[in-house]
Amino acid sequence: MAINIQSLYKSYQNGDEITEVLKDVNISVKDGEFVAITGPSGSGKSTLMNIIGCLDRPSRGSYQLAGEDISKLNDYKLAGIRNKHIGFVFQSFNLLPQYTALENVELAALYSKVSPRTARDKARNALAALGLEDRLKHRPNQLSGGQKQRVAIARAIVNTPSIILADEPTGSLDSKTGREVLDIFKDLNQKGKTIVVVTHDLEIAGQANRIINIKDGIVQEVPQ
Amino acid sequence: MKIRENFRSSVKSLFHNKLRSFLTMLGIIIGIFSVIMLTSIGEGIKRQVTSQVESLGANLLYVFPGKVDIGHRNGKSKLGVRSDGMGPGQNTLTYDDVLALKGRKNIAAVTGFYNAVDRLDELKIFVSTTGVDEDSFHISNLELRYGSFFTKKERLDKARVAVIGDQANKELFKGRNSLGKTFKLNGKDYKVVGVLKYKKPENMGPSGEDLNVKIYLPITEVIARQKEKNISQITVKATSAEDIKPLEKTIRQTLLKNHREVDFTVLKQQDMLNAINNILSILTAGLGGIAAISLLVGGIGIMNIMLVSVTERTREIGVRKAIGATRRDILVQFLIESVFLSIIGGLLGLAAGISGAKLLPSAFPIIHTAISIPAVIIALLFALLVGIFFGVYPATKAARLDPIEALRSE
Repeated sequence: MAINIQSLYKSYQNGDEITEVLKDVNISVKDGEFVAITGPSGSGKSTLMNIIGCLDRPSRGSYQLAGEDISKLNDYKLAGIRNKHIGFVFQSFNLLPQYTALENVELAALYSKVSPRTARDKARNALAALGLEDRLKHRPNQLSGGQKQRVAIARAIVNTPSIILADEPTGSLDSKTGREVLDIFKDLNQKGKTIVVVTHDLEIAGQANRIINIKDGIVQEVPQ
Repeated sequence: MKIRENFRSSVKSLFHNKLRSFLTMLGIIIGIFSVIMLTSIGEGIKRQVTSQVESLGANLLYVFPGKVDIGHRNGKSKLGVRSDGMGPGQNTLTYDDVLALKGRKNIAAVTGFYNAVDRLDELKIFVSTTGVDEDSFHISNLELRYGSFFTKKERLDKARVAVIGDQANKELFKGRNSLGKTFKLNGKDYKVVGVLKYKKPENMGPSGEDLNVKIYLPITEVIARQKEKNISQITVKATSAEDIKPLEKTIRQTLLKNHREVDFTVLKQQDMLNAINNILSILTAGLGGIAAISLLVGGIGIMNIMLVSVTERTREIGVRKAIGATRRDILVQFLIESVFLSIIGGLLGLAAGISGAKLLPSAFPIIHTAISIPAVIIALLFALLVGIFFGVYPATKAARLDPIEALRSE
């Protein structure tokens, strides 16, 4: 699923003040690419990420995902895209504490309206693919940081999306586990998933095919 | 997400916060409990009164002096009874009216009532005596311990005979079999021909009095020695339930021959029951209404907790949206949570209310309770409505959360 962003602007209104977070952004990501978005905090990289993830809409400009203009879709359709085509991985894992690992992963499958039995099977497979088959019944507080992030990745891939969006996925992990998580992303990329990672960890950025740098809302491709 | 999965999701969240969920439900539990308890007590009183009125004897019609309009409810008041010209001196019901009714079609028994005050010489006190016809025995369902009621002959002869209640027998004859013995009223001897069985005071007599203190005399004997000749009431027993309606007409027509105008009132037992039931229904509804206020308070409690819950779980809502929950999914989940709380609370309150209503009479024997099925259904529906009504706002709030804001919240 190709990402195609053209002259995109995003501004927030705060009272009378209008803040332009993204200015004239042009990015295209081809199927199967591994792209890192870097930049100092407050540069707008999270906003860009939210727009790519269909959690937010651009103020102006166009964002086409697999040729479809996102800004014209309603909430229901956007929820469907987030569910089926995009997998989110967050810095703070964002697992639901009252659910077990299996239930956390299952939830994303259930929102895709498959039968509970199918959802369970898919969740089990996704967790097994990440080596967590013996942690199915554990709650997040019974898991280590690396395990939590792997559950989160399992949740991101359970509906077999084509794009995985990760926001500082190693930010809460020590460097060894961070490397393991990075290997998972590389592996997923090899299996054909498009990966977009927001990070200021240069080691991760170095693993990407492309690095896109944002500064004060302006995007620059970093030549490698 | 399918509704069933939304439901599971909601139940899980509620179980995650067991104590809070229970405390939230407590408002509804108490609300439903009080609605059920209070309506059961009201319903119990209603049934008790009904059964008491019915225990006075079936198929009865009452004739009172004066014009009392109970059936048509003239005027503005719906529960009231219009009463005109009931003052003393205007009483025009006489014993001739009773005699005129005797032997008419559809009449099984008829008796007049004359309440007199006589001096009981043995105890040096004034007592109230009741002059009745021999038919009164059947009409009032009296039960005798000794002897029999006085006869038609004794009434026609104006004989000085008496049927006395248990308490009267105790005080006059130390509770022994007093048949054939005499006591003095106003200096004259009266022979005891019957003694009534002891009746618990709560099973009141025809005019609401304690049967145990009764002294029944032949009505003819009482009237003969009184200056005031008018009687206070006539009670007629119809031959069957179907005959009540035609009998009412017969009574009216018969009495009108002796009266220039309708200065008397014919009441059916049903009319009286209806009037009493009307008042008691209003009472029950009022009690239920007061209890319903606590349900409302419980509902506000639910809304309060749901709002807290939405704020607390903002991040969870953000995550759910990020992994593909639609607004509808979030709305339904929170709505199910509040409805679930109110329904489970309602069922628990119902169980508590029903057991309370069943146990209350054993703790306070004077209180009778009867569970009213309509009240149960209304209370549960109300609980459901409370859950929906007070759940909609928090659920809408949750559904409308901006996913980015929600994910950013701590």
